[in-house]
Amino acid sequence: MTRKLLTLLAFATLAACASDVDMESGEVKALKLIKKKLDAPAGPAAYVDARKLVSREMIDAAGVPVLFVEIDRGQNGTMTQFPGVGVGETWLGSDGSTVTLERGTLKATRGVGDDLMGSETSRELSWDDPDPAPYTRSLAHLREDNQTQVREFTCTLTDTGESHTLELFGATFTAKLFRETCEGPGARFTNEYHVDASGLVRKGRLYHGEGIGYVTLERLDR
Amino acid sequence: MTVNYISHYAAAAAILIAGAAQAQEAPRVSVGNFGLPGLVDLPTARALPDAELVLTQQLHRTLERTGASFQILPNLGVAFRYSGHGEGGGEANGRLNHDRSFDAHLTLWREGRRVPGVAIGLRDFIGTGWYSSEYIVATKSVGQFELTGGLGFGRLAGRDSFENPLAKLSDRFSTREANVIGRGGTLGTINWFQGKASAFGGVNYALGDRVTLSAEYTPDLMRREAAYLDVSSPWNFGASYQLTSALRLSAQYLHGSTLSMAAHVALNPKRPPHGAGRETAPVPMRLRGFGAPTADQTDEATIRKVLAVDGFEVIALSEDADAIRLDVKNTRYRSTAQALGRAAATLQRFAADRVTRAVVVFREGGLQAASYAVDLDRAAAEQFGIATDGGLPAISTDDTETLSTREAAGARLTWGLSPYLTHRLFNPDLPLSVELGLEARAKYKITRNLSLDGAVRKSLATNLTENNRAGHGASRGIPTTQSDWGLYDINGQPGHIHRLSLNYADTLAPDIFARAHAGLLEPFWAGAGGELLYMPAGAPIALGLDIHRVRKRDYDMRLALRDYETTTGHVSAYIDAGGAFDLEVNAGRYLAGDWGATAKISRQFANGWEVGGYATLTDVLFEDFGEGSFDKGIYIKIPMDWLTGEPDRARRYFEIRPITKDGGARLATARQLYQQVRGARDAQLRRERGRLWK
Repeated sequence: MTRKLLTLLAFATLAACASDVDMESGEVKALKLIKKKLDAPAGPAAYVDARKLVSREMIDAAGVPVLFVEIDRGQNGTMTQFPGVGVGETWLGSDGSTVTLERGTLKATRGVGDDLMGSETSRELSWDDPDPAPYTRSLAHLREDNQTQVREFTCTLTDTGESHTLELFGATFTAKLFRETCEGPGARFTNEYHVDASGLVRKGRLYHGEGIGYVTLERLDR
Repeated sequence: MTVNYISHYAAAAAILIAGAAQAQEAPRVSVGNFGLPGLVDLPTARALPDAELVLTQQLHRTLERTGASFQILPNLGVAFRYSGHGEGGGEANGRLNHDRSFDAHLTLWREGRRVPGVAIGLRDFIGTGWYSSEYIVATKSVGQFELTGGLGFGRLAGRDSFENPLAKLSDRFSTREANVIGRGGTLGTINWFQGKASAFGGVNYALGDRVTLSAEYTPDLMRREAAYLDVSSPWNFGASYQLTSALRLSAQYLHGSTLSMAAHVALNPKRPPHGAGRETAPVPMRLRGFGAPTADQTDEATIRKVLAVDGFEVIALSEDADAIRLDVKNTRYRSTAQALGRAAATLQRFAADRVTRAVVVFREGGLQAASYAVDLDRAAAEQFGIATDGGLPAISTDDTETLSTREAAGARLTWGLSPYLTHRLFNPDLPLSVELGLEARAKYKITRNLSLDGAVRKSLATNLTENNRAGHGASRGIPTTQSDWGLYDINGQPGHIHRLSLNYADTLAPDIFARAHAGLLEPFWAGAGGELLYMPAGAPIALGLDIHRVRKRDYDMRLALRDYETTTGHVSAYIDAGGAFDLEVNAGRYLAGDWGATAKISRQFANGWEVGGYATLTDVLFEDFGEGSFDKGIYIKIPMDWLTGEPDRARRYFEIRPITKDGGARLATARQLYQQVRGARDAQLRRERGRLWK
């Protein structure tokens, strides 16, 4: 009986069809879900490494601003600037995710899963002559109960004075390193900003939250 | 009995798979064979994490026990189980009897550095009282050891019993009143914590992160099982292994004679396997003013394109001086907050600068389910906002005019063909019976408000027909309404019309919804009727009225009808303040002509989970109702987006209804408006406000 039932169920599911999603039965939806789970490779997800796909020639030929984004677990990709002027500077990835920056600091992300819903500082950060006084940085994330959790961190921004050369996809840039050290409820993190002479953050390693960890950003266009 | 679907099993399996792969680690609390915090058979004073749902299966030679437990409140857990006892009997798998039972476990205080946690509990306090007992228990952790000691009453006061210490407080605790079971299903005799007491105790030892060893001394003499179970020791031993974050397996040696195995699956709505979920980013809002480029014209074509890609069906889009109105059907996002935010972001980006206000109207099956006004300038400021006041300053409910949508719908004919799987539970001869078949469905929309909807089913493989009790078990002295479900199962085998009805739904005024339908309304009933729902925006209460004239369908579920005809109807009140619990009360006339009321209480989670229970009391006497005394059940709704982490509006529905009798029987399709619109209303929006700009 069980074998017959399963065989029939498999055939019937293969034969299932519907003119639109509203007419798809719960059985078929659930079986598709199981199939998707079973089809997923075991172990850590494998990602296409943009470092191997994107070359300096391609970046220069594109002639548009390009941002390289990588999270600590290895997933990476390039993003292009979302057209128009928004609240902050929003970058769009090919997977439909966005990263929004404000003067090179991480403002928000969308479409990455544990999104950073928003980030604010109690005063505007300056790369020219950073104020050594502490300030607050607030990070907002979505809790499991679909409410926003806002945590406030006390931070200081330090100009390390280290001027150094960065090599990003075969191009070299000169930048100064700034460190933003923050401490607050349940977390302590340090953001690093490599800022070039024009005040552009060429590279940053920025804290996103517990779910994603740190995000590395590299501004690739010259 | 209850009918459910394969999707229930499938969803459960998916949860397991998902849970195994990605669920966050749950705080470990050892669960006993009764599905609540425990050693082996005995309880501990621990509490499961709030909202924890545990499924338990225990098996040994003379016992099969299936249970579900839920931590309703941080300090209150409840459990339901269905047990088959004995061997060599006439019921399924040779069992002598099958029994349903309910437990409650209340944590009085949690363990501190120096003081143990303390809990009290009731076992099998509703029904026949097979396990009828109570306990007061204390638990303290010392290193890797978890030490438990307690006092048992009732069945847990068998071995080395002594005078009840509570008798010093009141004489009523001195002697235990005998259980008066009646037809089961009720509290029966309130003899809790009465009579002699016995001490019990035990220890859990955590051997690393995954293994727990348990030993317990039980005062339960197992007298009810003595005829078939060799009880030669008061000691029980167990070893359990946490195989995945969701699944725990146990092996046990019980009563000095019996090997037993158990499995526990633990889920928690508060531990989504995919976190907050992943979807493509919403359209970023644009900067208006501050020297940003201006937009003199609304780009309607782009708005329509973007919304279509984002899973919205645009029904109407209109603009006046400073406002834009969008009527949409949301086909993708279960969270209305998220749907609203994405629609508003699209309007903010592509509407002209002069448009500072948007009205987004959500439509569901011909109804204007909810409408919201969005201050587009504030929305732009709030999208990455850090507001901690919990408010939604950019959003307000809006009693906008209903738009006439009596025009023809876009896609007139929709259809589907797919397998179905139904099962029935709790037949002692056949505790789980299953049927697989094919279902063909079609819906023809005559207008957006009027449609013809039907489904036919043909069984392919079944053992529903092996039901020797089909047609038996009717309630006494009232018409048969649903206790003959087995006859429908058997006679519907050649193929049957599952439903075929003409349906009309409309919004009479912004907060007043109406629905009417006629035809073969559901498998057992044909007829005509309708309902009205008044659900004021922003108010925590809604009121409903439904009335139907129905006639019982013939057992073959084709076009013929049986003789019994009746009028059924209810007035309803629905209370949802956007908090943790919802209440629904329906009062009126049921299908057997009995008068009474149904109360339903459910715990609502912001991510779409819902866990609830209901009970119906009517003027049918408990002894006439039959086994179970009155109609009751528990249910769970699990959202698909919680399972997959991807946007999906569907929720899977599981119901456990221990007994299906004729009293308190309701027409399943009588009340649908509230469920149809509530997800779009502001109470649910507030629950999920964090998703607004996600």
